Amino acid sequence: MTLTRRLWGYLGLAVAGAALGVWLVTLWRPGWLMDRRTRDGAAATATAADGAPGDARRISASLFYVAPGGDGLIAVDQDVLYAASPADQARRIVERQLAAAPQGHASAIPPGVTLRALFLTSRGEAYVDLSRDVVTGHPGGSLHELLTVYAIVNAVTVNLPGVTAVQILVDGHEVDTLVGHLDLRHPLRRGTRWVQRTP
Amino acid sequence: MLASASAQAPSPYRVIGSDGTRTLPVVRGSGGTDFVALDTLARFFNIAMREDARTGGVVLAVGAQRVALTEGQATVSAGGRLVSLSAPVTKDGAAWIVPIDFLRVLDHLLDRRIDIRRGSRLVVVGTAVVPRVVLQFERTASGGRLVITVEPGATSRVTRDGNLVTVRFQADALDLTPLVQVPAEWLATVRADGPALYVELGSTVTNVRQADAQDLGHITLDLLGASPVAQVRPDPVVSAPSIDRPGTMRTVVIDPGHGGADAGSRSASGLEEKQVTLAVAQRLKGMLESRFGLRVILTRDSDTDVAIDRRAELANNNKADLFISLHANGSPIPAMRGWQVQSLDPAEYASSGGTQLGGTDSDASVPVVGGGMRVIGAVPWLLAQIPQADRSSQLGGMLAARLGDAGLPPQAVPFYQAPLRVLVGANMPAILVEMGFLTNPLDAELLASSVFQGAVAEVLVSIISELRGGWPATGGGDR
Repeated sequence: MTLTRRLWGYLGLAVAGAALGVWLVTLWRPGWLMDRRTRDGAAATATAADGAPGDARRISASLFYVAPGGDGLIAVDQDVLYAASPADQARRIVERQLAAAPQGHASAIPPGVTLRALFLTSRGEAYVDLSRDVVTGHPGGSLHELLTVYAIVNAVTVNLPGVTAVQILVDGHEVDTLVGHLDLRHPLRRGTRWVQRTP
Repeated sequence: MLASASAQAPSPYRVIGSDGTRTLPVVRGSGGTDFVALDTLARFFNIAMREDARTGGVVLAVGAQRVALTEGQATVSAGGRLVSLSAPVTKDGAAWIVPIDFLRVLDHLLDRRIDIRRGSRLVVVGTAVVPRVVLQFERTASGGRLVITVEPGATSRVTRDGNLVTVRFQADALDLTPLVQVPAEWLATVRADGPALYVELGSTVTNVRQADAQDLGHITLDLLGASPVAQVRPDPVVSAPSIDRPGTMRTVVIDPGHGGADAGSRSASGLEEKQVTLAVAQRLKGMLESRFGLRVILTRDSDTDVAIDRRAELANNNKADLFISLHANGSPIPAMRGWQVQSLDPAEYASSGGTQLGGTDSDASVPVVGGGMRVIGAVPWLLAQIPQADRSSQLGGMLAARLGDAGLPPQAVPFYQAPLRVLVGANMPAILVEMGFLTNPLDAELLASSVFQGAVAEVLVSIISELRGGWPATGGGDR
């Protein structure tokens, strides 16, 4: 009887501690999440919108889709699930970037591509490991290869200021190129010159 | 001043065939394009021309083939294929006006070479031989030297009558690049008339001696002065300002993109990028070899896999002077069309040590035969393109300005730099040319056509021909 009462006490303390933790995170967001900047005319505010009860917290991130003329990228603000660490946040951003484009936009990434893994280094480089569909489903051409690559590179580097460059891997391996043109043997820096300003 | 300049009619073209030379008037010039009267072309090439009352257009009968033109359209139907022009066909009263590149349509249908040389306002037809002649004058200890570079090389005979030296070539005419800024005391005038070059000597010249008589591509005339020692000045070279390195182009490597299991982009009808690139590359190789005697190496001459490093490696090992990688674009957006030229973006390799290349840090001392050491510039194999990036960018700009002549519109950004894998290891000026979008129906049709493939090759030939005389000066450093 005494033991049961003590267990209930511990359980109550644990629940109270968890509630306190959630409240603290809500009140004081991590610094990397706060350090968001305005890029390329697409202001990505780092608000963690409180949705309806049961909804996960989200951030607003700039994702990159094919410009209407097909000769560049445009930044589109999208809600992405919040994550507590930069690596997890990068994963969620890339997963959202790989998903179908929002209504009225075209994705630069072939359909069906999945994120196999993503890790960050202490030098501020991200390694994004994609499924082989990014090669097999690609229509080819240097321009579109460039848009595919920089949609991913920009999605990570623009939204996570601590990440300065991204190297794309395919099926866990380093690759020369996706479809024969762009040099992917080293991490690529943010490529905002391929991003067109939206009117 | 501006008004009078714009009112001035563009100078005409000289049409040179084996049957003589005719003048092709330019009706007007706008946007870098020259326009000529269609009936003049029809007369020159003995082509029947009739207006089609049903369509409101005009039809040329070229043998069994028909060419249909419609007012306001920048495409013509030639032998059942659609061919793009650099500008729409127009009418001026009853006269039909076409851009000068319409001649390329006739080139294919007449099965006769028609070579448009816009810079020198020449149209060379059929088997006519019209070598390019570039002059360079330099001061020497004994007087002066006139070097005449002829491309392709031609047999010639040099004679002298008083102060007039005549160099007569076995050719139908000469495509002469005028010599400027030459002291009149050495060379009074230089002009070409038909297959002859006339050099009027200045008052200082007392004797002329010819050297290198065995070389068909170069004629060197030593101009001896009355009192040479007194006349030598410290500024030894006076040459045309636009040329800085004559005669340096010997080997060109052409890289037909993709191949083997890697088909590249693909058209809706199944035409593959690897097929188009190989066809254009083989055509370009034939033209460069036959016209200039250049050594041309293809990275592949059949449908085979070639490792990406192997392509630049071939160029490096053969000490190529140029590397041209041919490609055809693809896009999920079918409306995307047009050509693009690209060169390497060296900034992407700064963290790999690229910024240090070409500087003294990369130099190394090696022993030489006979003793002593020699300092050589060491270039990392995998980043060999970086010291060449400026030249490559210059080449890309030159080509981008000229590809419209092939009859295809440019992309919105016709030339850009990117971290291109196939170029980064090339130790010579190198560019990648996307000739059009196979995923666009119009471009795909062009890319499949022999006329268009030939037109792209012609543009590349014209650029390479210019570079054979030396790289245009840009104010930057030499290669």
